[in-house]
Amino acid sequence: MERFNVFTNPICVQHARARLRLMPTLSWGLITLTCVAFIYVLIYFLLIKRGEVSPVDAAKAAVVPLIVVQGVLLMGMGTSAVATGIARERDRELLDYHRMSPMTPAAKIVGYLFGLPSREYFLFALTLPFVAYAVLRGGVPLLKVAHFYVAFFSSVWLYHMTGLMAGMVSRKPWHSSFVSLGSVVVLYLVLPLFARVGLSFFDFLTVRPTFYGMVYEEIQSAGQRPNIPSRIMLAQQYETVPFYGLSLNPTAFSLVVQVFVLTAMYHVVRRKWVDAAWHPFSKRFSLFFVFGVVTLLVGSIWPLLFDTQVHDELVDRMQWAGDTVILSLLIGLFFVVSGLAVLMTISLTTPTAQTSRKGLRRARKRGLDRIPLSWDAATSVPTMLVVLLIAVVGYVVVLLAIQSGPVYEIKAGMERWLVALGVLSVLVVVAFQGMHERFGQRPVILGLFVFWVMPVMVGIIMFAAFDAWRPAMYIGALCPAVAGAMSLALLLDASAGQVVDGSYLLRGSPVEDHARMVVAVTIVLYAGLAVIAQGLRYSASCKRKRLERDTADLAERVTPRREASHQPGPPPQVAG
Amino acid sequence: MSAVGSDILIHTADVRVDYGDMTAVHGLNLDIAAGEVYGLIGPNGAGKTSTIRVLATLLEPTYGEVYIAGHDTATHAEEARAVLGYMPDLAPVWDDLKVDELLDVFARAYGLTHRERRQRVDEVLDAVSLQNKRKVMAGTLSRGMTQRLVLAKTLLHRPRVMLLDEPASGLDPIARIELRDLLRQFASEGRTVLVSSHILTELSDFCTSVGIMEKGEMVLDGPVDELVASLSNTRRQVVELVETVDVPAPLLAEMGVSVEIKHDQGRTTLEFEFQGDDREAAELLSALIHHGLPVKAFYERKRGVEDVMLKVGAREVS
Repeated sequence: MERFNVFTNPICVQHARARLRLMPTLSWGLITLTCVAFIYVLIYFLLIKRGEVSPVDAAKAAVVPLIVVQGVLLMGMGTSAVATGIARERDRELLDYHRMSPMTPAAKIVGYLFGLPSREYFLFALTLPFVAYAVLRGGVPLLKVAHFYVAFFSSVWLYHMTGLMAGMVSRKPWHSSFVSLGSVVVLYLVLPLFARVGLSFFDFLTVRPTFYGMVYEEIQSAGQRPNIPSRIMLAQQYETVPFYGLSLNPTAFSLVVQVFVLTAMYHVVRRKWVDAAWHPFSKRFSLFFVFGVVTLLVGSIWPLLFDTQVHDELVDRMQWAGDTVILSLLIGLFFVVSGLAVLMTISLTTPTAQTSRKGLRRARKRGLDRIPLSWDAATSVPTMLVVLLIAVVGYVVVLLAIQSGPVYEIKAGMERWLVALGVLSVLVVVAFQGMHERFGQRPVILGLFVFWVMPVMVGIIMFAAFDAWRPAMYIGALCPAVAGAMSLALLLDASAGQVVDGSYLLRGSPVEDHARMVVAVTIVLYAGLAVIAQGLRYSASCKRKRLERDTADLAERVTPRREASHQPGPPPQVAG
Repeated sequence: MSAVGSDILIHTADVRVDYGDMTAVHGLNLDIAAGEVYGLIGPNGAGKTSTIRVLATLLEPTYGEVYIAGHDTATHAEEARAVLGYMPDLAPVWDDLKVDELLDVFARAYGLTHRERRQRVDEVLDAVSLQNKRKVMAGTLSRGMTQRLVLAKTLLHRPRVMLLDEPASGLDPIARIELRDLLRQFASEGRTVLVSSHILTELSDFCTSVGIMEKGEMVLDGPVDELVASLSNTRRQVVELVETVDVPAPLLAEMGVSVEIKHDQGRTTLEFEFQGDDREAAELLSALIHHGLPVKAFYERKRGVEDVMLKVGAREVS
């Protein structure tokens, strides 16, 4: 356990020494102290002198700005320190020294996670007396503050782990800060937006729910400006978290969601520590990951379908959308999120042709007929089938919940579009896997751009500039997202959902019949593509096996001649 | 193969390493015993670094077995790492750590106590002559000193097996001699050193065994003495004369067909393959003196790794 103590962990000690040298630390400390003191004193005295607020309320008002400073220090600067530090060490091959030192990968990860941002932790410590004074003077309940800091540190470690993961998986050092920044933006800024339409669990990747659920009300003061209604709503929204049939504490739910994401990142970093050439996800872990995502997804949708109060709160928040629009959005988001999880998993576990060849050689040497399915070098087809099964089961559960819950029902005419969405998604995934395994990641990304993004762009130009909406729709059919959106629109109409003032989205419009056709064309197109991609993948795999077998046979025929001049001798006595 | 039956600290069987479509190492079988200094020689791209990285558990081979001090690196990498010391080519260091701090970090990583750490850091700094630089930032050291620092780091935990990839590159002549002495001492303590180089003179002085790699394959390996002895049944004889003289034809005939004659600064040197034994060599010397040749020196030139290299035709090695 000594290796997990941050004060004795060798890597922590190393980085603490490097990053806490006297002069830079003093400089940064002085800057931080000055800023924090300025913020605190300004708010405190400004409110007392100008706002005629009591000292207790003025102290409360200083809490949030101080927390923002702490967030900037640990979440911003700390994450950057971790991402760039690990990338630099990897680039200079310094990581190899630690790879070779006899510490467990977990101890090494702890070392980097807490050692690289050691200066930022020190600066954070300098802000604590101000926060402590504000909290005590303001009479904020300490238990609620403790709840908040549990979620705060959990988020901080999540951010730092994001930086560590980016540094370990990026091919080049400058990629790492880009990947790190991109991951932070997507995970903690973009995905939480989905919470606004019901997928609440994404919001719990951030510290926001715990802040609004536990602390916000306590730091409001009678003398301050009136509370902003949307913030009061947020505070009410996060008092408890509905998840399946449960009502969870926001801190506990934050921990569940963040530990899940941390586990995934730890898995990636650990594998990269053991061997930089390994895939970020093992085949087995990818099943757990998709299962976790689908479980969280269904758990977040579930209360909206069964609990009328939770549903009504969402309808209140989304006043621009009607009931049925929310249903279509939820189904659409289920496909987007589970689809992204499935595609990412396949992308992270599909071997390149070279990895497959290496695996074939290794398997052959061990007397195996085929590459064991758990190896990185094995095809990702079985993984794809299982993750698809998990996602389909999740989808079926959601459909059954819609049907049996008190809020919505599946009306006649909706089934075909619900099935169409499912079938289209499965076909896209099968085609993606086949193409990825056959041609590799880069050509597939280029293909996605050419066949998914460009047709949509062309379609938009044709529609906007030339009013040629028919060809625009059919060109857009190359992109499954277009067909998916049309399925959702048709689903909305079929559910008798009026969008605005009694009008439907597609029903009765000249687009309606073409929309149906576009969905059908896209399904047929991707069915064909899936068959072709899997056929190409299979034929390449057979060719590779044949080539390796022939090469190995040839080598075996040549080897006896070579060994005649180079006798290895009897098995050695190996020293223990 | 040497030392079968004795303590084998490095054992590999049929190791292959592939990078994409390129095969870097193929069919590598090694058995290196305790106390050996094994020189891995070959031109750039021969597979030396890949071999060392596989042995250091930093690179997973495509297939093949690797045992370090009895630990299978595929299943017991942690145990193997505890007995390994590895010094990479162009060894990098953390620029923002002082010399003694860097060593202390790794002494901690190897589980040494506070007292052991202090003592051991002192010892290795003495061993590599860096005691006077212990408070200097590692990033300010010269290339040679950086090499020495990494060597000190490698020695910290008294590894039973040391893997040194081109350790002498960047070292000045004195540091090279110190390195050679250090490795000899290391081997005399029953440890094993595997050192790679593409510079023959670096290895020829102190290796007990060598392996010559070309295009990923081991073309020849074994104890240096055995390899040298196996070259031929002749010896390389040298005769130095203090004047520039013409050697009589009958004498030249007695010396053999491939006599190399060099005239330099008023002196003559004859070098040739001599097939006779010690008595016949003595008779040849008498004949030279009898013919009035001013013989200054008459000796047998010791064969080394260079001769082995030339024999196997690995001429790309400088």
